[in-house]
Amino acid sequence: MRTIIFLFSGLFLFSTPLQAQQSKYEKAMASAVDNIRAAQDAESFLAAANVFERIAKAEAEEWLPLYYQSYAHMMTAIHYFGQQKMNDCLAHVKKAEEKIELAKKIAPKESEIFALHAFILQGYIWEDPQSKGAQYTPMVMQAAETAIALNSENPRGFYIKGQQLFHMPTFFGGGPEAAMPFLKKALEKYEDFKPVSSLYPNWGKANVEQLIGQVGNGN
Amino acid sequence: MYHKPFFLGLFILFTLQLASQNTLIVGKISDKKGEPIIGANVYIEGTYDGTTSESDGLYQFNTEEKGEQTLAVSYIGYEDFSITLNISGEKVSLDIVLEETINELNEVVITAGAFEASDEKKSVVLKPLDIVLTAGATADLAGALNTLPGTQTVGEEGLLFVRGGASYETKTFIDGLLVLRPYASSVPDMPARNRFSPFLFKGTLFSTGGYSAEYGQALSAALVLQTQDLAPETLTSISLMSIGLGASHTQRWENSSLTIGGDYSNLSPYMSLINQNVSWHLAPQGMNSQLVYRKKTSETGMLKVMANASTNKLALDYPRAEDLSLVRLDLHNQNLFLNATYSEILNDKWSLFTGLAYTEDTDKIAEKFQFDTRERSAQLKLKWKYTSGDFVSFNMGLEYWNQHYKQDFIEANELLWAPSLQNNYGAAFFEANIYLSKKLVSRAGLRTEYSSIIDRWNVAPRWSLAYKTGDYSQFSFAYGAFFQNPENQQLIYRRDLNFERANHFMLNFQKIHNDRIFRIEAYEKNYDQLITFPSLRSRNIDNNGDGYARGIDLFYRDRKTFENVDFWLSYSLLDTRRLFRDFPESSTPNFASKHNLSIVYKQWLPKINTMLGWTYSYGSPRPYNDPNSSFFNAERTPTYHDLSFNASYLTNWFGNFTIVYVSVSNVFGFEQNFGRRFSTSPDANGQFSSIAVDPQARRFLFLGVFLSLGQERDF
Repeated sequence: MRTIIFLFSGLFLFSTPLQAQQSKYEKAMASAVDNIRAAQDAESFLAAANVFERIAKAEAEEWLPLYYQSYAHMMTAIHYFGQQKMNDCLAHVKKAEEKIELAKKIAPKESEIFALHAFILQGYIWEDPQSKGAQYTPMVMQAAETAIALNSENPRGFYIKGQQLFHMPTFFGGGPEAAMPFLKKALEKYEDFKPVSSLYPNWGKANVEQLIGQVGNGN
Repeated sequence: MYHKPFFLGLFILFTLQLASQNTLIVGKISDKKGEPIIGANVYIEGTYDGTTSESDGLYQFNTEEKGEQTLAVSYIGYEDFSITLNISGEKVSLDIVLEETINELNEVVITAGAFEASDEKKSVVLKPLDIVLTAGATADLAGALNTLPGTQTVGEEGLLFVRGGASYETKTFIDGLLVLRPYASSVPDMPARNRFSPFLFKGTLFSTGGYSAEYGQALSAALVLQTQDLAPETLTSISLMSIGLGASHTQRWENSSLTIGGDYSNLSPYMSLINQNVSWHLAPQGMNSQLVYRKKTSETGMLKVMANASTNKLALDYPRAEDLSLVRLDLHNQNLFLNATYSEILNDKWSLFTGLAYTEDTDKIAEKFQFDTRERSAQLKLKWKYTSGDFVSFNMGLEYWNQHYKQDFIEANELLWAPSLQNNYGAAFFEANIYLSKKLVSRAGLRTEYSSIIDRWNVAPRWSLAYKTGDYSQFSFAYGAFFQNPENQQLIYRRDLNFERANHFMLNFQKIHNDRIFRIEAYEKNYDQLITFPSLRSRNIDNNGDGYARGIDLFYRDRKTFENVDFWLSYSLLDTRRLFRDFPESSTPNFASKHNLSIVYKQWLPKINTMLGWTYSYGSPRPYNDPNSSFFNAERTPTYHDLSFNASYLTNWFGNFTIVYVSVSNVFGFEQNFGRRFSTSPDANGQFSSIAVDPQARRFLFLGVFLSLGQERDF
């Protein structure tokens, strides 16, 4: 009984306004990040995007909620692409880019933001690789290179560069062979990567392994 | 063991606390049709409290907030919604209807008369790449546009003839500014080529009638070309062709890019290998140099400068219709084209566009006598756009052109006649785009023009409407009055002439869905005040002509049905007669054929990285006049058939992206004939002798290798 009373009083004690606000952000983010890491389909990614949008709007100084909102829209786009819903896919790619641009304004030197931006720019190519490839490939490469320049330990810059080359036709200098050095480098960096906190981005390793695996099986 | 009352009390206390703290907000989110919206974000602004609408559009969440709060709802593709609530702890029930946003996928757009190629817009008929990869077009803009309905194939000219209009009735605009001489000069019966590479443009709007009040001085059609913005990356390209070579280098900086390029073409090696109907002294050769500079002056501002200088020559023996004797004809053309534009968004309502263009063109033609033409033109354009919300925008602008034209007729080094002209032309336009509903848009415009040389002014109203009939289909209607100055060749004889004029009416139905496009358009064009003269050598020029053109254009494109196949089909039915130039009576002109058909078929073979293309063109017989006959324009050319083929093989040579390109026109060697050319005066027996107008060669073969040397990346 005492423990229960103690527990309750403890809860109330914690509720001083400032502290509540701080922990509320972290708590909300932690739970939202857990949700997005568990998301499997367009609906759950969209729900995650909504949660991050609410946090982002309430916390105008933080780039992470915007970053995750952008990422969640991008993942929604990928699922729509898989279902051949190209219009929905493109709408979410655009939304993702809109949000990452906002994040960039808050944290203009954050490597992760450029890596995600490079990933988003790839989304524009899916619509019509023949006509969009030439336009967006240099932009993808540039964003990925900026991500690497800002933090050479960020594996996602290498991953996106490798992924871009992987899907690029060989006559443009792409193809799995050209992609391999970047994917391997990315994998190396993933092994050593230590996110600043548990809330920080840490995605993409499985994709790199999958791409490397594809080459292995193909040969 | 347990003190139940205490526990119960605690529980009651706890729920009371909850009840007093939290307010339940519930409801349903749907669109205007009553369909539930799933996945919308519903929340109290500035807080974390909110939820995502579930299946059936239902939502439900708790908030601890009190007092006046804003409930916001957002969902992609719909307008944001917000409402102020007074939250007191009592449950709030609120059903919300979201409005669909107008976007490029669902918006109603005016399509009457307009064929658009763009990478940026969704609901367009063509992509810029389609222009380059159309067989028979050999990367020539007019060649590709000739596969669209509303155009007539006139093989001996290579120009655009639109809906029964003569070639001078179609004008080309680059970044909103008129291009005085878009085609390289040519001699009679030789097809001309457009000066500008299709790679320069990110968007092409080919309007076969009823176009916006922004464009004037074109009776039939406007070809509106939009140049590329910043070049995407540093690149060097080299082209090696069976008819010449070219190179260009593009340098990209963070906010600017510069391209410098040049090419040299010479058809003599080719023409000495492949038998020609023409005896050349100097096969066509030319040089072209180009500079393209782009600067992003701010987030939204863009400065574009383009300079193009070219020269081309040819000399041939030209058979005289009189006695088939050969006359030497020399042609030398020099052209300079400068175009600079600046655009900027001033604030959330106003944007500004300014443009300057300068052209200088010299044509020297030497036959028995020498005939030099020199043209200069300077243009200034100012345009403002005012946008008020999603539903209303106004476009307005001013244009000023200063044009000089001079001809020298020289025989045996003696200047016989040197007429010259100067024209100051001013125009103002205003256009209102108003969405009367989400399904109905109106574009009403007014253009007024003054031309000093004829000392006349005109007022040209334009009006278009488009109504969306379904998710993917719509009707458009367009009406417009169009004026054009008489051509310089007539103005040198007489100046107190009037504008030539045309009225357009058209009705269009278009359906675009799933990579399939269907369009049908019926039109009527009435001409008035067309230039007439009693005979080719007469100076009694007047505006006594008139005429009509009416017809139906059909277009179907399909990129869906067959994998890796893209095909389109264009058919035009044209009925036209006119009284103009030296016509003794109203008649169907030589450049008009009743039926025109094009079938473009492209197949991508991914395994061998090759694109194959075929274009079949059909044109029904065209009239021409035999002065020996008592009936005017009563002769008919044979039916025109052509099947062209091209193949592009994409590969990588020494780490550089390379395209190997081959094209052949008239693969099956169909007999092609464009009528007969008659002597200008009768022989001793009172007969006009003639010679056949045939293509230069049965086929044209083109081979090219295009290399892109990309910047070394730190791979």
